Amino acid sequence: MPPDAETVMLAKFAPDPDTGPGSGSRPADPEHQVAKLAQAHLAAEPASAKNFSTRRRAPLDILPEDEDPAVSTRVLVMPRGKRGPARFSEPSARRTWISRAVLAAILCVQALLSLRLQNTASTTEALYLYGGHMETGHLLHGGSLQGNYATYFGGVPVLYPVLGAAANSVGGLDAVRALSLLAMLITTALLYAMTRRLFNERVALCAAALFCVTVGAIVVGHLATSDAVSLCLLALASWILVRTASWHWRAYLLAMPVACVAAATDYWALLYLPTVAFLGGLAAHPYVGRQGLVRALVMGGVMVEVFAGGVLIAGRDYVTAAVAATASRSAGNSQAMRILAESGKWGGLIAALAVLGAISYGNRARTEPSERVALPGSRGRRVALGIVLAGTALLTLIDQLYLNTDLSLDTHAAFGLFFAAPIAGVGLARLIGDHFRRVQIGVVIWTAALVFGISQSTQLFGSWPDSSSLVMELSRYLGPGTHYLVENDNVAIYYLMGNPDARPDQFSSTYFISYRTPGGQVLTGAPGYLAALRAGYFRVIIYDSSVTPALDRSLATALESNPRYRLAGTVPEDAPDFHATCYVWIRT
Amino acid sequence: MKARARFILPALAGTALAAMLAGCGLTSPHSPGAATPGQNAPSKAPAPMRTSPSSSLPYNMSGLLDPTGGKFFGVEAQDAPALAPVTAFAASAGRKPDLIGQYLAWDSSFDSRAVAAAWSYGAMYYIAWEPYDTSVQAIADGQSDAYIRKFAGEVHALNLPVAISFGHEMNGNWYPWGTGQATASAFVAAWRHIHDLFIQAGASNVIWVWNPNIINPVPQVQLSLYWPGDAYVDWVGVTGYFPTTGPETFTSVYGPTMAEVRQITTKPIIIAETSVETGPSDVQAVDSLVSGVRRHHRVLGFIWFDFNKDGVNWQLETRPGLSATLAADVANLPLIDPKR
Repeated sequence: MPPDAETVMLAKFAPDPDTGPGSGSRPADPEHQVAKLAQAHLAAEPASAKNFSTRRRAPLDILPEDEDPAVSTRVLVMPRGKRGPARFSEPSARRTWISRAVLAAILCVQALLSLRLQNTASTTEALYLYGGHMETGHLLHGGSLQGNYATYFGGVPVLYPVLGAAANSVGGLDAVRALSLLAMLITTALLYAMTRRLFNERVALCAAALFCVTVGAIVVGHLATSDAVSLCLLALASWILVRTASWHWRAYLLAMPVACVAAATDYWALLYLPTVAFLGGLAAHPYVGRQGLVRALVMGGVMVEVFAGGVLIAGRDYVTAAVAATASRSAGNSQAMRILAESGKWGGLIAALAVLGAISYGNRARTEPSERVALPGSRGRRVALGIVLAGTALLTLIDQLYLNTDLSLDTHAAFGLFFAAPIAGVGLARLIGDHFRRVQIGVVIWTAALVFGISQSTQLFGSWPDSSSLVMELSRYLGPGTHYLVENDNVAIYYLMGNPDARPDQFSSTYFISYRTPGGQVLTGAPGYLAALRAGYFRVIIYDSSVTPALDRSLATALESNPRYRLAGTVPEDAPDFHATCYVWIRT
Repeated sequence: MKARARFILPALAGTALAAMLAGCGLTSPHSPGAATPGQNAPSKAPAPMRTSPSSSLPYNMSGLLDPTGGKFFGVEAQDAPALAPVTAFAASAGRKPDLIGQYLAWDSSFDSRAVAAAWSYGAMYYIAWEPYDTSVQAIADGQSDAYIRKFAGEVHALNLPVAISFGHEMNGNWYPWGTGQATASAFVAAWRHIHDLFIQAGASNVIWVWNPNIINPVPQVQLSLYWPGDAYVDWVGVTGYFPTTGPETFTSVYGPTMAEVRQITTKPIIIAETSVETGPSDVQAVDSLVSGVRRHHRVLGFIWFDFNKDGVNWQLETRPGLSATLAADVANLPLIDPKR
């Protein structure tokens, strides 16, 4: 054959010399051979041939469906021109459209599962949204802020909060939640696209089907917080890396700013930047060999440095918040067993499938000999890919255990499960077997995941009480220039935004007070609250013993004997897992 | 085998679909309620809240704690809580009362239907809660807590305003909770204890009426000793009658008591129990009562004791002349609409 021939006929595989003396007695790993041959060809190619090309090629990395990989003569389609030596093979148009139709159905199910959730804004949603409005006002008109958001927001305050506030201005809370849903639907679509590039359409559909019914995906898709947008950006960065695995290394640069913005949007995503980097390297490994791992290390390092540099330039406040969000939530006091149990509840099924998938994929690249899969690379690469993907599911658990808190575990689980889903898809596909022999098992597992997702998301989204009555009750007693003490003031501030008698600076929570007495003494904590109460500083006082029960007992005792205050009413707060009574006292 | 697979697959798919539908419709604890407007709706305001507040919010008592712009014209009628005597009284007085009173013995149940019926009639209910067959000390010690909690819970659940006067005329010696058998400190302790149990039950829809007798017959008793505190009382009730031994005026009957009360508190006053005994000056007494109530802006109104008791007929319906006078006096008296 001439050197520029489009196809190169290769002899039957010989034993791999790298596998040691014992390996001669068994057939070499066919995927490994294909990768090695591809790399060897790449090395022999002139430099100009390694550049990009948009020309479509016949498959290189796909075995003919009617051939036994162990014995057949392989036909490797070598690229010519500017394209790399090996690249992803597009499936048939029929297969593509069927897969896309199934994906559309999966996205519809995901949307349905998220949209069925109903509740008023949670504390976190309210905080981020009214904070976003304050930030917007500050940016556009120089308005004052209610506190230094940079020190305690879980992401850069001018990113998601401002975006959320803009959506809120357009369509209220529903619009912000729709934004999250859109982000999560894109995330699932990117998961599919990424997984089909790593494995194939069947695995991708299994991964998407599993991910879309996880409690994390369902809840995050209907929560007006930064999680959805951040995860979507992380998914986009991952997809870019996988999609450009066979391209020139410069294509990797596209993913870096996206990953950094993801981490800036929600600092929790910072934990997953190494995974993204390793995923990119492992995705490129079949095409560029060990250079892929070098890319991963460099890319991961640069991403972390860029992000770290950004927050350092932005100021110490951002560093404080980022560290608090990811590495030093010292206030956490959740028991390890509780964290483990909750983690198992939120993602145990997918994690188990991911482990199964990682083991089986490391052992064997295909479910059936004739299965069409993306270039799997060596066994080592497959094992590494399985470990990185399945292990990332544990990353959330490990960090939550380290932080000693189950705070946001439900939403954080979505991050880990996103990366675990592709290899869990492999596990599910293996259980289903070749030619859908055991499809019943797949249906049972997915049904179980669906039922878990529905029940758990319902439980989670109902874990805070409907605040409608409380806000309406508070709104009866508003007054110009007066002050309100509300145990959890974020929701009240959010829902009363725009009311001139309910500016954020008129509210105090039971978390912190700095009260200056008429004598000029500044008091904090319980003495501060009680002094303010004695002075009649607050027009309305609302507590429900949900956050600061000890302080609330002190307030109740003081209020019962304070002639300036009268109980105006009680508002029941009922949720499936939360029952409390909100006491509303007014100054008479 | 294939036949079984054909059966199993649709069955499982059906199970999945059923589970999804169940999750979509049946397991959601938060079904969207009727849409109601939010607090304010500028362009940046959040989305309107979903739940209608009217049925779930506590009754807004702020307009009843120190009402202005009108007076209460009340009646404590025989055979309460039946409304028939009230309507008979209204016919004689020419106006519907906006306050209906009832004497309720300790350990009696809260009659929410009577309160609701009075509310439908257009009147607020006023309970004179009489601690018979117990002692104020026992109440203060918590021996009636279960009864009080149940009572408070029912008051709270009704979510309509109710005036409660515990241990009225405590400064007299004619009741077991009075000066003859109880101490002032025990009375105050019992009052505060009851009040706190109502607070804990969330029964904010109570107007607490501290109701001494006029001090004229018991000038030696200091009212301040019986005062629970401003935090525990909304109205001061005063019991005082116009006897046949007159002539008496509003000032002579209530003046000394109101003066002593004002040394204790600035809370509004209601003539919580009054009537005019038949006699030569009964018409003048009625005129003085109504004009006194009208004249004193801190006096919320009066409650007519419409009983025929112990041989004395205080009822209005059987005294046409007096009822005509009262009707004429209250005809132009601006009354409070409790529902407003």
